[in-house]
Amino acid sequence: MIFYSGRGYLVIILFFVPLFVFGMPLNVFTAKSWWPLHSLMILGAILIIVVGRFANRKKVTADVIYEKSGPVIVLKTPHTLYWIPMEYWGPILLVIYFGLVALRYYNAPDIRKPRLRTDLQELHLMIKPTK
Amino acid sequence: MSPTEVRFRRQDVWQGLAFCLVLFIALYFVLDLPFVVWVIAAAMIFALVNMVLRAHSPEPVIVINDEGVFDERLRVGVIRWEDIRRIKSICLNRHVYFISLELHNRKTYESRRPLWLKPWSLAKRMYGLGAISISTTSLDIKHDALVEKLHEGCMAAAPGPPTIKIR
Repeated sequence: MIFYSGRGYLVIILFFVPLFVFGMPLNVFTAKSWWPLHSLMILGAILIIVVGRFANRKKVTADVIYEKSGPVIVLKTPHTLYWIPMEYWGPILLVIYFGLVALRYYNAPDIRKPRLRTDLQELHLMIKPTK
Repeated sequence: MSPTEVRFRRQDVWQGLAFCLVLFIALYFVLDLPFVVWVIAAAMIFALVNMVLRAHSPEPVIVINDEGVFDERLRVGVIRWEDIRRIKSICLNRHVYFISLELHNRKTYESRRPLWLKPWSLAKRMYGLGAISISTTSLDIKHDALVEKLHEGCMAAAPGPPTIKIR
């Protein structure tokens, strides 16, 4: 069950928007390198942070408590997902994503090595003087 | 603040009474219900007839003025603005609306109530309502407008300016 307030549900959509928009033209799923996929995930997180900060710039009145000393107006963030403000979900989802990536590498380190690393290794072999 | 008098919406009360009567007559012919159900039905019809009488009474159900809020049904007298700590808007079953009042001195107000109303306030608590809660169903003022009026009254009686706290 998804608990959200306001437009909090957009977090899930926004995280995958760059993947759906740029994923096909860039062939991220069939590419040898993982970096396009990682970049799109980072872009999704940035999108969540930007949209979340913009949407949550104004707080709404959650409660008014009339204490003996005077009224206390309690303000709350309007757009949340699982009671966490929308903009915080960007870094949280990135941590989860890279955690899963690290776990995948740890379990099967040889499945798909990042292109950048193999390129560097190739470069290293190229410049290495041969005897 | 300007004094406000709230009454029952007569049309709603009559409609409720007619619906209940038709329902019970239909049930009488269709089902062979136990005696207890008929006792409850009789009590409900008695309550609705009472509501009809109240709806046609010249006396208002709720009075809001500079002193506080008075709900004739609660039997606690005038609830002073200074005694209200929190106003909660509660909806049960999407149609039944209540305004639950959290008071600084709840026990003082509860002690004013007649004994026969105490089980009713206990039943209200089971539904998450406070002992002092105003039913806003079938009133000639909208629920939100009444909540707004109560906040207005509390703000006017507040001793100091409001402080803002971010949750």
